[in-house]
Amino acid sequence: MTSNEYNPGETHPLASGASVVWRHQRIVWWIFAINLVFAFWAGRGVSQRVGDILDHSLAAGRLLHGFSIGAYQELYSMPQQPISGGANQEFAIAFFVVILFATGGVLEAYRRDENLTTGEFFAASGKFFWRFLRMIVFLLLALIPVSIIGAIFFALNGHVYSTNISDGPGLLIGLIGLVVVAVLLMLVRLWFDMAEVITVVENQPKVRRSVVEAWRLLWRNFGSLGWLYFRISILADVVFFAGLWLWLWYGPSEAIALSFLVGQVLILFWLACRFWQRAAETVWYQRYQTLSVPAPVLVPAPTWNTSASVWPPADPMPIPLPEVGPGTEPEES
Amino acid sequence: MAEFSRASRRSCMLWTGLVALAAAIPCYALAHAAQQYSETAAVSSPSAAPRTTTAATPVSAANAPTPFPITPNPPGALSDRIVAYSIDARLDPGTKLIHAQETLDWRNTTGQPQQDLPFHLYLNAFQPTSAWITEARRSNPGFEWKPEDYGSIQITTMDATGFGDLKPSLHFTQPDDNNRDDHTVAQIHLPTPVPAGGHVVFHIQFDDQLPEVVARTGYLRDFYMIGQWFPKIGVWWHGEWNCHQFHDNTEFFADFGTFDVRLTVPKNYIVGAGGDLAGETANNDGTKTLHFTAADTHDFSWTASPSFRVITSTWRGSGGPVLIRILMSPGHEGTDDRYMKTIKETLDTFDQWYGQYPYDRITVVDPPHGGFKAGGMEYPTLITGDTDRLIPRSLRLPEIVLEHEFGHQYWYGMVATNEFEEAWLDEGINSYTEVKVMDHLYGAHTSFLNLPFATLSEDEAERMMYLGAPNYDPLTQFAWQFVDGSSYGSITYGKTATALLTLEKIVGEDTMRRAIHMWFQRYRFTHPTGADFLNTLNEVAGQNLDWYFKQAVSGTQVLDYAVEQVQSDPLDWYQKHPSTGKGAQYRSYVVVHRIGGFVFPTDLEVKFDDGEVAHETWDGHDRWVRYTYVKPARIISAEIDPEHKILLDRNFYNNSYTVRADARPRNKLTVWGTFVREWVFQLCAWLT
Repeated sequence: MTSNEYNPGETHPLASGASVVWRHQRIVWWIFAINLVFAFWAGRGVSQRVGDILDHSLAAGRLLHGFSIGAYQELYSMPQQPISGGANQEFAIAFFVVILFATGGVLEAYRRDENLTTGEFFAASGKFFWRFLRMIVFLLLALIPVSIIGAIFFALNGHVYSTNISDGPGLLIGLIGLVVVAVLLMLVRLWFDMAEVITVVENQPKVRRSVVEAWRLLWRNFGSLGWLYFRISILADVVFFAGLWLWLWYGPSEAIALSFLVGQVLILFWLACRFWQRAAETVWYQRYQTLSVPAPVLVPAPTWNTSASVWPPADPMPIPLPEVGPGTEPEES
Repeated sequence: MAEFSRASRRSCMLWTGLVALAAAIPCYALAHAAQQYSETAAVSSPSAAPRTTTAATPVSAANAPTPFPITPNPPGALSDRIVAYSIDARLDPGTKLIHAQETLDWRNTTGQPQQDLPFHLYLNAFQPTSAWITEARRSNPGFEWKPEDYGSIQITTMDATGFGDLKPSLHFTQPDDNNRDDHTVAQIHLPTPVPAGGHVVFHIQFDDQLPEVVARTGYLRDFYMIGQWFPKIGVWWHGEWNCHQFHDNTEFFADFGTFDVRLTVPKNYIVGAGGDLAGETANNDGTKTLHFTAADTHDFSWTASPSFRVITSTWRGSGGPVLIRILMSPGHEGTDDRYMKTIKETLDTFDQWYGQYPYDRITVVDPPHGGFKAGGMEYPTLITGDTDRLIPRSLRLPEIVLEHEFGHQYWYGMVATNEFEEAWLDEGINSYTEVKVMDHLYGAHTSFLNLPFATLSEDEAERMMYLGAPNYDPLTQFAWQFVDGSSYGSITYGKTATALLTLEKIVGEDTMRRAIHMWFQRYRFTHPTGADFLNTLNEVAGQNLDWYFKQAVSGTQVLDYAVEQVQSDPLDWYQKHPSTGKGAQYRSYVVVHRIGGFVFPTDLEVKFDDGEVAHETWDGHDRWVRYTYVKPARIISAEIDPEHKILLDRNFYNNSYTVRADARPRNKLTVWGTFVREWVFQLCAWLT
């Protein structure tokens, strides 16, 4: 199914996905809020200790008016008041669990494209939580070959870099390796995104079956699915990093409230893009599912006698139906 | 080992004190210090003496033969030219071997006969049981040995004109650590002494096995950086031989002289060397021989690679034209102009501030990618840079490295201090002038990093280095006796630079520049000591700064002042409704605290809410002082060192206190910290 294979009047999954995210934007806001609160709380201890040092010190101006790396390093190298990294790991894990838990509810809302009650949302989240947790094991297994490929590129890069007179070939191999690994990681993510969509849409209890089915789906629809996913990824990356660059280069360093606002807009956009991918994938799969028809029962072709006594045959020859079903490319309807 | 270290350091102090006395400085403090050092020396065991303790053989000059009287140096010689090396070397790229013959003409200017002479064999440091490798492993337990790290220098024959074969008398000595496996110093015993005023001509054949580049020497692919590669005689200094083993943190010390070197390399190799190219001959075996000469230098290094790209230019200074020759490695094209601009501007600045660059060339070697172990090194008239294709222009690392290494042409190249024993005199003073020159060229706040949203200055970078390990070792510690490499770098580079920058705030920038200028003019082409440097500073500053030097140079005290308490209380506080409006009287207190052991006079600035400012002077001797004010105004802030003179203060944040909190800096960090965390959390959630 590619972009030119939709019915006239049917919007592209990208647009439909965006529309779904917009209609269910409450989900994005909630996750964004949790992300913000967790990040704030993770650094709260550090912020407190930093405040103890900076709030009443004139030397803190070196961090406010411009940003002195030396002043920042000094802040973190004082033996009397050591500043540790806070509770970053704990909150990162907590956020991971929250997202893992909420994914079922999010996909269910996108599948039904209707506002779920809180109870329905949590019921769906709980229903799929263990399946998705088990799915992570498969995902980690899928990451092994990616890691091996990455390690091969790394070793190759090291070898070429250290043996070649010019650093160019080594850097090129390193760059290619980075791109390859990034693309593979995106594919793995897309694969498991689809496995999660299948699990929810089909209410598939067998995780392994969802993963295998998603693999087949991705294999047979690599172009349309990959392009759907990559476009959003590229848009998210470009906007995020360009926005960050613009703000760092041209934003006033003392505008703290504005910095907060710009930063949160970028984070929100990044997050929304992730949900956009989820919604677009769900829309894509639902349309794919609609287009699929059960495999026909093929009637054995009759053998007929060409002798004059039976010719012409009494009934017209049956025309076999096209073989369309899950795992094959659907035709236009 | 600890006892040995202490004794060695004290022995160094002994000499520092003696030199100070010899200079007849009428300073009680120095005399007192010398007395202390003498007392210390009296209890030092001879076996723990830090320098090579090859005592001069007590043969009277009258009894010694004087067949080879020294000839005077030619007019115009800048140095005493104690040594004259003539070396004919052939590089074999296949085996990474150098086969060479060396002739060394050594002039005995020691004032006494000499029969036992030590030689440095630096390349033997790169063996698993040497002092160098042992110390590297001690500093970094993750240090791994691999066969390519092996390096050696092997003397195959050695004789001297009129003395015959000396090889049988050649033996290794370990003056610093008694590690019998260390073969970086060898000594020969002459059948008869070289009389005072005589000279001896050694003929040495040796083979170098080059290691894969380490400690700024060796090979990497087709690149060769050849430093410390020939048998080099020690220095007779302060009445004894000074010829230390090669250690992990040590550098070098040698006498000035002349070099006449012929290098045979494959004909497609481009060669750079610390000398003038006097001739080039093509050989029939696919090689070529290049002839280099140098005078008034104390070392000769060279580099070779078929992949170099040569860029030349000429700079004109007060001493005439100087040929700049940059040998660039592939892939570093983007740094060409950065190197050239830096070297020219640095030459300019040194020429104007400190004195004339007397040589007619400077060669800059750009090591190839992965060759950072050859990067950032100084040899006379040849320095190595360090860069990478990906270093942005806003990060001035290539500029800093090149400026620093060029600075060594003055601080080590010409003012040839003992890098083994007083590394702060070359690395530290050079780090100070690096800050000055880089600030001058690239701006005081942006001399290290200049991004629109973040900056780093050179003085901040040096101060941060100092704060990495501020209180283990004094500046005067022998280089191999620092607790570890971190302390060596922190103190030798960071603390010296920061201490001199602080001193500059006391005596003034002009005075400091004049002092460094005099240090150069007075001691170029000699081997001065730390005492000479401090005496020069005292002399030019016109004041006795020993109180400062004792703490900053010889001591390990840390300087840390803090505003401990700021409080304003209504005089009628006991009333039910104390007066707080306009005209109300307050009793205000400021308590300042000296947290560290370093005593330094400073100022205190106290601001009141009626706009009045009170200035106090605190000598810093007491641990704390309370200042009390009765005024019709409340304190709004108190700040120690309001002009930010004391860069040695380890914590700037506690130097001031404002009554009203300003949460903006904290909020700024919190905003960005939260942003980064949110993003990282989302990346982690990618797995779901």
